[in-house]
Amino acid sequence: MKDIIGAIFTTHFLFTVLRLTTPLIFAALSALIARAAGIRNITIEGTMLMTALTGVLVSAYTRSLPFAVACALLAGVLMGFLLAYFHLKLDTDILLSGIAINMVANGGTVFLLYVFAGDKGSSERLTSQVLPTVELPLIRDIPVLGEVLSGHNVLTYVAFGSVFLVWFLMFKTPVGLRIRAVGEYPEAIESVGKNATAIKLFALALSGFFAALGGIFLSMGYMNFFVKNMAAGRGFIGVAADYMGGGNPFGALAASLLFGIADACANTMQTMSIPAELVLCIPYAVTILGLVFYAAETKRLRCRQKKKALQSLRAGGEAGEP
Amino acid sequence: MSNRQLNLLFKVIKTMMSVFIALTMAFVVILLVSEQPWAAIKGFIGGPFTSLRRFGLVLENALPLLFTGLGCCLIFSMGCGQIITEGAFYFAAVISTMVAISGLPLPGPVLFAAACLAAALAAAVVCLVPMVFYIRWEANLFVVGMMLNYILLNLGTYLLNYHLIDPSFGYPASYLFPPEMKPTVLIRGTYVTTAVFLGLALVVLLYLFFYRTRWGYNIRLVGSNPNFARYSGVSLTATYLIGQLLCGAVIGVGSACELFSRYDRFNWYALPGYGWDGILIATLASFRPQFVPLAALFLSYIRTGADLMSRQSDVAAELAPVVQSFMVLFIAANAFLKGTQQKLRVKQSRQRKRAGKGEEG
Repeated sequence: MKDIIGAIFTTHFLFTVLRLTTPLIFAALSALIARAAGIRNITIEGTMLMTALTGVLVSAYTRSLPFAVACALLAGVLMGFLLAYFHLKLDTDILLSGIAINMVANGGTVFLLYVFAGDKGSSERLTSQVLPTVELPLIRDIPVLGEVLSGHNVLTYVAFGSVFLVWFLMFKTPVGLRIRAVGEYPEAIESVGKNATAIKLFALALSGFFAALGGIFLSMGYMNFFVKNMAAGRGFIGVAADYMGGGNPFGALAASLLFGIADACANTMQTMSIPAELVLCIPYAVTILGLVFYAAETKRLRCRQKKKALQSLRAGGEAGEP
Repeated sequence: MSNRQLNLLFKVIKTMMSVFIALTMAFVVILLVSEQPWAAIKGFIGGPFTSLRRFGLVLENALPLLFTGLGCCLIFSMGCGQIITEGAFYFAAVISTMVAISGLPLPGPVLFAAACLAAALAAAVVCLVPMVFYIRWEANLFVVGMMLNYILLNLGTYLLNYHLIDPSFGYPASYLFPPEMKPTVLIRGTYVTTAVFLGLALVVLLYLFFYRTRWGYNIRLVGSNPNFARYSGVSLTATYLIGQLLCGAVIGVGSACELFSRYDRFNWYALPGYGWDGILIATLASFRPQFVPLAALFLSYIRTGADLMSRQSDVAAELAPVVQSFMVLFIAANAFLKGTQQKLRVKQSRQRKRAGKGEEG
């Protein structure tokens, strides 16, 4: 037990936590934006796969990193449009659209990988490029903090920055207000002469954009090549993190960090004599517990509000009587 | 033509259009990527019909799809879309392996039945978990199920690696299943076994359950309008639990059939993916058990065709999931071809009106 605690409280461990949390943050933000617009987007998993592959293939063939990143981001937005086409235009059930699009991405990435890299497992044969790591000036020289915070992939910093950005966008700008309004009550938006579908479309595109950042991180930061099914459920964990965060970017960040920690714990404990398979259950079990806790809390809150409203109604009624 | 006939006709047209669009997409992709596109397309479309053994492959691949499709019919027709079926299918295989290699002194068929029963129970319990969480705390069904799938996979891998593994065997797999418990092969050279009959029997049973029993009716009622069901005195909780339980049982039996038909040892180190396929099948069959065999055969045909194509040409078999997903996306699209349907309907009613006037005059 002492060993475990000793292994966990090291700078290396905390560094790993931040690294593992990065794709989860992007996925959670992606889920958050879509859910705010009232759309349960589970295609994040597939979008991450598709964009991870796009980034690798484009960077391998054009040797241009900025172009590859741009293409991958575009691919993410297009995946958002694909979901929008089926869900918003053709009125396909959202869960079914999500499942089918994920299957398209799952099979499609392997298909494309075979066409362009001649391999069905990974893109190791291609020499693709990687996004740089960043040494933070000043912070780098602080003893413990520097080791934890500095030297991450540039997208890790982007991820944490995005949390603020999304918070600002969703809660401080007219666009964010519209997205949230569409999610809450689309008729309200229509009644003031705005197009609810267009706003949902925008939200899905934005959702795809953030999922793309997560995908790019996976294949051009976390690893330096594409592996079949490399998202490994991170998109779904992102959806769970958003639920746990209650639709608030900072809540989503906290939930993502929780999963990151559980994941890192699993990594560390695997090196000890605990069966790796059981340790690997931890992040998922934590997710379920978190979901149940969050859902129960919301339900209780709703009940209390209802009771309060009833009480005040009753009090008002009594006061009104002569 | 009555309205009902019109709707049916329209459904057929829509399905055909969806299949046509998806296959056209597949052909365009093949033409783009392949050096010998015609050989690839020939293998894809005609491959499964070139020999009895290959057609047997279609049947063989359709069997697991049939079971998961039936299971998904149950949960989707009560309006509870979720993916726990995937983990349930996997974990049922683990449990039935335990029974199969336990060394119980039972005759073959009895042991097979016991393994099926254990698998059905295990899968039913697994399927209940997310539903209980949903009923008790309103935790999201889909996400809880998804997470549970990963837990079950890891748990199953742990059991396989530490308790079921045969150390004397060349690669990681469980002990050998007793050969006398395996279902009899029907078509030589394939794994089409007597388990097919079990699958067909379940189709009939579920059809009767859906349309001839109270609970089947309740499940369909809850799916089409939960509020109406509640106000007419149907217990949502009981209906959800029963639907989920039955879904698990069907999937468990399917898992055991798949395992003992095709494998000599248990060696699944990944989720098999049949849970996802089940959702597509159920959608293709419009959530009606009687159409599930057809849907399963069709999807299996596409898949087997793609597999044969990848062996004969330079096109990867992963084209199949892409094609089938797009097909289902269009078939499930409520608004797809809606304008045409509306036009047909208007035309129809105008004609009827005119005919009515003619009679009056």
